[in-house]
Amino acid sequence: MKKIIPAIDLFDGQVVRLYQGDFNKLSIYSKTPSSLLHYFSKEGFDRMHIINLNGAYSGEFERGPNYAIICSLIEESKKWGVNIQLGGGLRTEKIIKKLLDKGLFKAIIGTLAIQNQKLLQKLLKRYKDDIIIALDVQNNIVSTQGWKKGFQIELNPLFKQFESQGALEFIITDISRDGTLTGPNFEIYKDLSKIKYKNTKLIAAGGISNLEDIKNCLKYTDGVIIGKALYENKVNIANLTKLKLKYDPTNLARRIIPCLDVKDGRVVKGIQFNNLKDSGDPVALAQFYNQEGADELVFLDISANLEDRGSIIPIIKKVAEEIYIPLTVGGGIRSISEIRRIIKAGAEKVSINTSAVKNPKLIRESAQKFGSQSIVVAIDVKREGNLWEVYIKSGTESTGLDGIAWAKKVVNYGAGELLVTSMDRDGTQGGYDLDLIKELYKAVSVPIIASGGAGTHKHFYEAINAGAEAVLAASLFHKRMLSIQDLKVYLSKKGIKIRI
Amino acid sequence: MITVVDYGSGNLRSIQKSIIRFYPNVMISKDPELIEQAKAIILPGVGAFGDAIKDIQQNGLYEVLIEKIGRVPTMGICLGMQLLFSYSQESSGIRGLGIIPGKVLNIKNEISSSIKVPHMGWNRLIPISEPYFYGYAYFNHSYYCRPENRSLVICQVNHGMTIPVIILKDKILGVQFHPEKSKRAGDTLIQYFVSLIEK
Repeated sequence: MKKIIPAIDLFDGQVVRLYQGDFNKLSIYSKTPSSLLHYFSKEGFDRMHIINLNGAYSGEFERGPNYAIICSLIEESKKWGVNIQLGGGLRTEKIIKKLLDKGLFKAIIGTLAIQNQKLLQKLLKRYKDDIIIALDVQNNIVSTQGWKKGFQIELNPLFKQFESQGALEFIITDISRDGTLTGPNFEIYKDLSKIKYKNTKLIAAGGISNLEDIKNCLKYTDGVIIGKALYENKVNIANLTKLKLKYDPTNLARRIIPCLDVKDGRVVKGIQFNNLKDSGDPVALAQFYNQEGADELVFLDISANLEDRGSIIPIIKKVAEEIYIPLTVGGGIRSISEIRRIIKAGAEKVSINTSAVKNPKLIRESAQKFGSQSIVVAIDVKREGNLWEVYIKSGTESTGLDGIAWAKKVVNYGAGELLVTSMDRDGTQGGYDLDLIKELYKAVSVPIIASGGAGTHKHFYEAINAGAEAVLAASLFHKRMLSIQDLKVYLSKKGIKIRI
Repeated sequence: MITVVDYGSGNLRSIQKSIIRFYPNVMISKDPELIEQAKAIILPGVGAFGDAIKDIQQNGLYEVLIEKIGRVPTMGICLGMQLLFSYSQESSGIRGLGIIPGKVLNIKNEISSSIKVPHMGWNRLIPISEPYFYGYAYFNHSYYCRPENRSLVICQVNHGMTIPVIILKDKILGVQFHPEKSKRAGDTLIQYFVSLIEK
């Protein structure tokens, strides 16, 4: 995924563009900044670059008419599901924290990074994932302060220095090109792409005049900011939208899914919530996770007597009717009539495990009857070298089936999603089995829910990068070792699409 | 009275309850006479296109739905939106309600294999004309609606392609996501639907 990021520069409350950073050469494009946020959002863009030009000039972010407008833009961005990167006169920790608390996605710092090393280090320590360092460059020399005062620092060593201090994301603008529509300075980006760390994100800005410029920049960078060319119709918005779809094809958010074991209508196993009166009540827990921002829930019915699903059906109904969180129900499902009861009760999906192996026809028939999107096949595997063997009956019986081949087969039968648990990793909190996820991602066309091994924020990030559409965990969430909200913010700042 | 048409699909109480918050009289029914009297109709749907049409026919609802949809405000949800069309690749021998000209097509045939299908989870709505609906909504489908008249599409999403997700034709709303599970975006859509009744 690479980002095309429309720019909105604010001066005295209006949207403007400067020519080479010169305040005397300014064009006004709009008097209502929020209408531009809506406009770009309607074209499918989900990240915007906003600069407070008055702030950049004066060094006082909150002075003047821009500040109130910026606050309302941040509010709007949350409603529309858009991320804002914001800069221009962010010089103190206080203002950066204030804006982040309001829901700002990333704070862009330029002058501060160069002039105040102590504060920079503090910021990178506390807000590493929230900070973008912007460097304005002319002939490989970095300049600052609203482009007015000159400094003589070379770009590449400074870039490496910031990187080693923990900076994760950079915007590099060639100011001799900015606003000139003469094409960007590709050499800078090419050079930086060679010396940067693998995970460092590089965004190009300045001089973009057509779609070819964007494509050429994105050969070396993770994103490109486009301003003037868009406002002056050098780039047609419909064509830009098409290009966005190519580099950033889906806005589908990755899902975080807590899994609950339910026995005879009660949640069992290690639920430790102090603030819940009855931590065994599945409906109360569903409500809790719904409020915390879980995207779906999985109920695993482990009741001894599953004949009529007597205990879980009323719970599914209650969750569907009162909490509205999408629900997948699994555990010992053997027949179409069981699936029908569960779906009619209000579950979005059912998950089949042992029966899928014993009776693969069940997958095909249920997918035909209820649609593939309702049928999840759960696969439990144990690693043998670079192969994974499928186990059934809650991991107690080996099948001799190869996990990857089995995954392909069940998708052919009609499974709409795979819930894959690494038994080796389950309960270890040492991270998901990334090789497994990568192999599955290549092998099948349906979404994969990764399960088994989550212990830290980073583990979720790795699983998603390996190709998991959704990530599942149980005791990690139940024991409050990490909160879903915090996890979602973390992933979002890492550039993962997340519903917050 | 808003009538949620019960032809044997998923939990209609969740739809009913989510609408009651904005409009007091919501009934679930499969009685053609009661549907005939409805002030507005919700056509829900979970499952496959062909089975749903068969269920509608077996319940004797096909004619009354064709008669009624469009005369009163109607909202087709998920598969219920797709049923408003005549043809679906999911069940090519079976004719849908045929109220909106166009086709229901398999997403998989149109996009790169690196994008996963079914389109499952929360996607960001991209409003294209008024009334604007925005924010994240919950999807779970493999097929999508392509109306002949593109100007009926008022909202779309990106998932390897642009997928139309809300269509509006006079009093008929078709929505591909699940408003009852889509929190704020779903609520605003339901409120808009209710406003169609009061117009």
